[in-house]
Amino acid sequence: MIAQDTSEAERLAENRELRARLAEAEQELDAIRSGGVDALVVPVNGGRRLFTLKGADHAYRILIEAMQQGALIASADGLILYGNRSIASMLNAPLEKVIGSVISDWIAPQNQAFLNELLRLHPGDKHDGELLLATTDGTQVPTFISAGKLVLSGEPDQLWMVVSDLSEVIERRKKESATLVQGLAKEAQADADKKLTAAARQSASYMRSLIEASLDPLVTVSAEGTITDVNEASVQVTGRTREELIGTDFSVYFTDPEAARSGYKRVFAEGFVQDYPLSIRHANGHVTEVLYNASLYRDEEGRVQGAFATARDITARKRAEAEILELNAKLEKRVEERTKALAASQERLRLAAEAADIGFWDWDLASNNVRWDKLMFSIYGMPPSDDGRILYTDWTSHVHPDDVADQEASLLDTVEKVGRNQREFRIIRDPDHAIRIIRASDAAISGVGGKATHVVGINLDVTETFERLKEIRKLNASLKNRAAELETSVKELDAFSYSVSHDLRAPLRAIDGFSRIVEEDYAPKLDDEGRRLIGVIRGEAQRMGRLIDDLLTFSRLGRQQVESVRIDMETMARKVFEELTAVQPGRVIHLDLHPIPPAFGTEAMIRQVWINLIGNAVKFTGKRKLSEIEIGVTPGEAGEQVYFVKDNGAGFDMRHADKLFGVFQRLHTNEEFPGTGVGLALVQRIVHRHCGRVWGEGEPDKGAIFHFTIPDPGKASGENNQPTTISTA
Amino acid sequence: MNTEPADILLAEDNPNDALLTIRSLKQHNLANAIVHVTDGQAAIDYLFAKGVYSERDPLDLPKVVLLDLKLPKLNGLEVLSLIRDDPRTKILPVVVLTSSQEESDLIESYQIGANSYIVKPVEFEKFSAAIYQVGLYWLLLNKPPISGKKP
Repeated sequence: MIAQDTSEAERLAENRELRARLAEAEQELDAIRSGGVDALVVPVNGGRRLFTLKGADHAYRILIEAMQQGALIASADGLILYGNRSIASMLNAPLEKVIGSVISDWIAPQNQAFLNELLRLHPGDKHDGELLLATTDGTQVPTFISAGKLVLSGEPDQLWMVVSDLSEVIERRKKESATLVQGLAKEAQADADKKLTAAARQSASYMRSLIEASLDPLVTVSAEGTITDVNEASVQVTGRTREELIGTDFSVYFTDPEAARSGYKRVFAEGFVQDYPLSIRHANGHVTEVLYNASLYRDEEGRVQGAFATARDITARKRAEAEILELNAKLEKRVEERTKALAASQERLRLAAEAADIGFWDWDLASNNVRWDKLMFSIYGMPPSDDGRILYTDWTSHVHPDDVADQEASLLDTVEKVGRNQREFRIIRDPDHAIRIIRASDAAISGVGGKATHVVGINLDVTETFERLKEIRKLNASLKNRAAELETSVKELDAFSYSVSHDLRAPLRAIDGFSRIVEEDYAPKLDDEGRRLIGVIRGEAQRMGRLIDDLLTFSRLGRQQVESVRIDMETMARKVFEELTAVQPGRVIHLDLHPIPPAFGTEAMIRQVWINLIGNAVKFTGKRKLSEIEIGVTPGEAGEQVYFVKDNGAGFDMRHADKLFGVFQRLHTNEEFPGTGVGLALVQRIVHRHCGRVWGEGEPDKGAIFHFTIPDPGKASGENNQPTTISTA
Repeated sequence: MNTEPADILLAEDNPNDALLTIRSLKQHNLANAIVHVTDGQAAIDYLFAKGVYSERDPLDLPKVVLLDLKLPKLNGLEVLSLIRDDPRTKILPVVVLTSSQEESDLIESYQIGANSYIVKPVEFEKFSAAIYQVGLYWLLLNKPPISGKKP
């Protein structure tokens, strides 16, 4: 306030000087106008200049316009004809509104009489005095005015007026007068003082509340760097009382006192600092990150008193920043990891595609650009372009003309439905013009708004696969035909067997039966030879009956289902042996039966195998004094069990081994050893139906050995003996 | 036509088999009253007193039917079905006497309701023995469900 007063005092002095100069100029002007002076010389810019009547108007105008005082000219009836900028500003109205208005509108009511006096002034008269202006905002401005009448030749008189704003001067005067009457009006002054103090206190208290209400720590620091005042927020942030803080060095409350001092120095050097980062240390060690704003403050004479500083707690912001940084780092790391994973996965996909000869393409719908990878070019037999780019029409021109329309329709469908499609079409490969079959898949990729922007897809040359498939289909078809033929044959065979069992046995029965009747009814008429011949007829008929029975058993085997039941092979072999040798008068048969592990198969069939093999052994050792039969098992390939039946019988020549298992094939005459030639064929059929093998070895007159295997169906597909679904079923 | 009541109805188209069967029964004194028909239709006509057997009393049923499977006109299984479908003959003893060793024939016969299934052996001694066993069992040992009109 005091500093402001100083400048106002200066302005007042200037005002007085100007007023004096104005009065002088007015007198000169009067003299000129009244014809007393023709020209005058005035000192300007270190020289003198002659002002003639002619040039004076312009110069005055500039002067008047530049004046701080208001100036106006009004007609005798009070219409404002001219005003300068200052008068407008005093009246708080635009100049245009002032000029042309009635002057009385701008004068306070109590001064209207004074205005009338001024308007009635005689030419040449001049009047000074105080006048209250009425401004547009309703306030009254105290002014000092000088006014007079202008006499213009041939025109009515005009009032001129120069107006000085006294509002500030009055304040000043009040003080001055107060000083003057100090002694005389002690009580009045005490009262005024009291009022002023109250006002000041009120103002100070108001300021204080504002400062305390601030959540930011506020501090004033002396020029020497000691704290002169703090607010409650400062107390909170430092953990020290107001009394503890005031008078101490401000820098000690920061983690970096040096930084605090240099910031303070900067305030002195530059007048302020903004967002200066420091950390305040609380008495309990807690650190608060802050940003300081500080500026200097001065006393009335403009001397620097110290600095006023406010701090903003940015701990939360810093923490948030740190968190964001950390998150960013994490995110970056994840992005990096995902990028790597993506790259790896893309590489895998690329390798897989390459290994599978799959070509990739990408069609950008907006630009109609199609991009191919190298395999696409190789599938179409085209030299690859540098950037893989080809024209859409490059593709269509390679598609078989008959297939183009369908393929384009399918692609269009993919685009329109933003879907996917699988297609097969023919292309004509570039270098050799070979027609190749392509399998293609494509999928549309949608952009903003769900419309397709891209179509990506793959091509795979399946010509070979297709050819192979065709071949396989052809083979399958012929196999099917063959199977059907075989099925028909089997049915025919069944029908044949049925006929055989009925129709062939009946005549045999008749032959045997009627031979018997001849024997019975005509016995006296028959001699020994006759009876022998009838015996031959009956024997052959019965043998044929057995042949038919064996043959039927053999054919029936083909239709019987093979089961997988656990069979105690050792017990079965022993029982079969005992049954077969129960009625063999005069025979000495020695059995050497080794321990035999169980097998899995159809019990009745496996029994038939033992019956036939052991039966053969018994039969073919019939001419031995001591028949020796050995039954056991030997380990074969891949841990399989090889069952065997060995005898010391007639044996056979290995040259005829290929005939062993043929139907009706015999290596001995019926006279030597009777038989139908079906037994071993039956054995082979059963073993084969169990997926096993059977073979025989022999030497004439030394004996024979027959081997067979019955694979365990549970082990059929694997080496180890793990339980399979069969065992749990 | 023969309207005499019979103990045995023999349905057999093969004359030799029929002869051997009847001879075996006779040798064992079991051929008291045998009616022999040579096709399936005749067997049905006899049992239900139809056609040439219309004069016969349908209530007078044999003690047992010896039925071959392979018969002209109606085969043995068809004859057996008709016998079992009629309330009058539903429980009439029927022995299937056949050359067929087919498992399907055997199972089907029993399913339709055969009382017994015998495969005719080729060897005459065995055949004769089998016929004797059948005759002995069904004519003498078995207590028939239906006692014919004959006292």
